[in-house]
This record gives sequence, C-alpha cells and structure tokens, in this order.
Amino acid sequence: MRSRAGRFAIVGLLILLPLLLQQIDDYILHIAIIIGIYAILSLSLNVIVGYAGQFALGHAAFYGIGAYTAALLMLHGSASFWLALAAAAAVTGLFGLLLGSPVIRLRGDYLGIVTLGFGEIVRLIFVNWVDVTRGPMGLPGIPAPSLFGHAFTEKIEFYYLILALVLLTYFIINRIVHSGIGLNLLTIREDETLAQSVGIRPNQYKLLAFSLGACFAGVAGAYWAAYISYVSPDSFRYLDSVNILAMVILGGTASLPGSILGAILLVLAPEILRYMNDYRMMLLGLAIILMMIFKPSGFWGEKHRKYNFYGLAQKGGRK
Amino acid sequence: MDELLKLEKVSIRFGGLHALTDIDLSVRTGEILAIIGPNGAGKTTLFNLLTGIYRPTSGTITYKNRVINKLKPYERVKIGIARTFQNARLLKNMTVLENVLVAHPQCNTESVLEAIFLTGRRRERRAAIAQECVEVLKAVGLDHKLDVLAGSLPYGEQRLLEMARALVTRCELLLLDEPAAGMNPAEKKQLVEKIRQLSREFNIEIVLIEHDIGLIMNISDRIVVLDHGVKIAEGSAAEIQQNPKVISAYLGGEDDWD
Repeated sequence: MRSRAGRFAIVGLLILLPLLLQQIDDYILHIAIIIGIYAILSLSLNVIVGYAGQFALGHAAFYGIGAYTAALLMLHGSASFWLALAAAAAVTGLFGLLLGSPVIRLRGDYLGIVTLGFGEIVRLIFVNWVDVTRGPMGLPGIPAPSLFGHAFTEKIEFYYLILALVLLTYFIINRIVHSGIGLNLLTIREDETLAQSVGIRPNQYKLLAFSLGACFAGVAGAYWAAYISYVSPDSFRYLDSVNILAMVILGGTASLPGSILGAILLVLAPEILRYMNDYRMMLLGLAIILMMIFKPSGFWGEKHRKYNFYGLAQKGGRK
Repeated sequence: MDELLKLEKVSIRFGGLHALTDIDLSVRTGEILAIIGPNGAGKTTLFNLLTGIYRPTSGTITYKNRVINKLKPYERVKIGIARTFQNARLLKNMTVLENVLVAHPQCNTESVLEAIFLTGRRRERRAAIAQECVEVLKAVGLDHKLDVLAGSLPYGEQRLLEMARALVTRCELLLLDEPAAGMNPAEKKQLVEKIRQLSREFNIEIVLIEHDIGLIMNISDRIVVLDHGVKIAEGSAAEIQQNPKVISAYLGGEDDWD
C-alpha cells in the first residue's frame, strides 16, 4: 500500500522537477504540460469508463466544449481565466448531463456509437457555426491567465498551473471513487440488476459519472485554450477521444494512478518514437494490441485497487 | 394475524404466455413462507413481481397497506423488501465487507460533497457504517473473512454473504430464491438453522423458493404450491403432503415425500 509519505514525495518531486533540471528546455516542459492535460482527461474518462462501465467514445467533445466555452468567455466576455475555467467546468458538466440522459438507457456497443456520434456532432458544430467559432480558422488571441496582476508568460508558470489542476482533479476524483459513490458505480458496472436490488438507482449514478467526467474534461479544455491561446476544431477529433480511451485502458480501468501512467506513456511514446517517422503510429498500434492480448487489465489495473473503501476491515479481520 | 404483504388476483402475461394467473397470497408477520412448485411453475416470476423487476399485468400487490405495483426495485428496497438471487450474485472481485457495504442505506446514499469534503464527522459515520456491516456479517458467520474476495468464497458462504447483504438494507421482508441450491446435506442443515436464527434475530418475515422438499418441510410455517402459474394449494407442511392435487402436479403421482 502506498503511504501518505510516498504521495508527498511524488508531489514534491513534481514541484521541484523544473528546478532540478537547471537547463530545462521549453520542449520538455511542453511535453510535461501536455501529459498534465491528458492526465486530467484520462482521469475524468476513467470515472465514466472504468468506474461506471459506460464505454463512451466522445470524450474529446467535452474537452472541446470546455475549450470553446473558456475561449469565448475570455475573448468576448473579457472574463478572467479563473472565471472561464469554472464556467467551462460547469457548462461541460451540463453537457455531460445532457448527453448522459438519453445515453444511459443504452448498453455496450450502442452506447459507444451514440457517444461517438455526439463527438462528431460537436466537432461539426465547431467547424460550421462560423459566426461564433470562426469555423476551421479557429479562435486566436486568447489571453494568458494571470494571478494577482501577474500574467503567465513562461512555460514554467503553465507547468505549475497544470500541476495544480492535475492534483486538484486527482484529489476530488480520488475522494469520490473511494466513497459510497464509487462503490455504487462499481456495483452498477458489474451488475445493474443487483445494484437495483440493494437500493441503488443506476441511472442517477451513471448520470453523475457522465457529468463529473465531462466537468473535468472541461477543465482540461479551458486550460488548453489558455495555454495555446488558440482553439480550433482540429484538436477535438474522434482520434483524440480514442487516444484518451487508450490511455484509460492501457493504464488500467478503475485505477487513478493507472490513468496518469496511461497519459504519460501515450504522450511520451510518439515523442520518443519520433525518429521513426511513419512507423511510430504503427508501432504504437501494435503495442496496444499486444497489451490487450497479454495484459488486458492494463499496466496499473484494478488488482492494485485499495480494498475496503473505509479501510476498517483490516483491523476487524485480523484480530 | 397481520398481513405484511398481500397479493390479490395478481396476473402477469408475457405476450400470449400466462406466466402467473390470479395469484392470491399473503405473508403474515412472524412466519416463514415457502413457495414450491415444479420447474416453470412461475416461482421466480413471482419473486420478480415482488421485487419490482416485473410489474403485474393485473391485480394488486399490497405491502403494509400500500399498493406497490409500480414501485421500482430500488424503491422497494427502501420500504423494506430485500432479496437474494437464485445463483449467488455477488461482486466477485470485491471483498466480503465491500459486498455488504454497498447495500447499506447510508453507504450508498453518500453525496458528492460529503465524499469530497471528507470531514471528521463523516469519517466517524463511515466507521460506524462499516461496524454495522461487520455486525451483520458476524450474525451470518462471515466476520472472519472480511478481506476475502467474494468470488473466492465457497458456494455455501456466498449464499450467506448474499443474505448478509440483504439484511444490511434493514429489510422487514426477505425473499430467498433457492437458498440451498448447490449445497450438500450438511450445509443445508446449517442453512435451515441459520435462516431460523436470522428470522428471529432480525425480526423479519421470510419468503423462500426451494426445491429441496426436506428443507421446506423443516423450515416453513406455511407452504404455497404453484403449478403452471396457478396456485394449487396452500397450508401447513402436513396439509400439503396430503393434498392430492399437489402430489399429482409436483410428483407426477408418485409419493416420495421423504
């Protein structure tokens, strides 16, 4: 079992990392930031796919809705980044609820297809609603976040911002999945009839998972808009949804450290394999297939799950 | 005697199939009622009607003087009806304690904010909830296996775990769907005692479906016999044994009750 001290050590290391590497270059920081964004996305998708067991394929849509919401608010509403961040989370959460309500009645493949359709519709809206989104040209010139009058310009500042957001996301999702709610979600995933027969309302909890997952994807989107200072429909394609899903599955469903591991692996791998040019995507595909065959529960799968949510059984059980 | 649950002319049809026709039935306080019948008689369908998985096509189901025809399964759990399944349905990759926790009404209604802002008071509450679950597990005799994965329990213990899970919902009416299926005679004997003990200890009414006639005769205060979706007999074990209709329906005319 990982101790509290271990967790503090990891966080401490992440805070000090840029300082330790004195001559850190912007490229490495950029990769670290992208890992952070995808960590939030895969953590949030894990709530929907891993815990609630809803095989959703449209996560990039929530990411995009968050990004556009924040971008439009900052550009036209001249809202601060922090307000835009909160608004993006709320708006995408609401969209999660909207998508969730029809979709939770579906199962398996059908759910996959509908969420995939949702992702495509949202992307097409970004492309075609030219009056608002400027279509494929995107929205440039999004102002950088500022804190106490100091505007973020350096990459290092963005690194700390995303680190804080990842930690916040991890903290909140971790608390939720290790509560009665998480237990309910796992029960629904395993057996809905059983869940009902012990007094759980499956639909209510599936909706909760959808809006929670969407909400944090919106946070990632808002950050992305502010970091790149430009949003366009190209960043929120079907391929991105699949990529996030691959992170969740590769890292391990229903495992939060797994999601982060998945994000690290799938952001790093294409960068490391860059010298192989055209072959890198093929290799990545092969790696995922092999993974599915030999280790279907992911690198850090549920086997590592902390048993007994309330942590009391060990005392009671080993007298 | 008080009637906790009452069925009046309850029928259910699936398309042209009359699964149950005009069933009248009541569960009185303080008794163990058994439902028997040959395969396909409609026993499990009746259970699904009681737990809300199906809705009756006609007739009324009354629980504590309230018509519950339309209540969903989770709503019925809240008013005190719990069940077990024919083939132990457990969360196999979760521990014994987790399997019971999930049914605890205060565990599975935790709110998002309570979960995020885990206050000291909430932590204490959780400890108390877990303790209550341990107590129930103690009653069925599984408190020494809290950390064992449910899937790795022997079959008999899985059935007991299911019962513990139903009990922790604080039910007043417990429906057991073939609790002794797949058990050996020794386990069955223990089970009978366990069911009697739980019924007294938790002060609950029990309705059970069972195939094992010996067990039924032993445990139940009253027996209802179904055949082809119709109630053909009702009475004490002795009365049922004598009933010619039951003998012909259930045993095809042969008499091998013991």
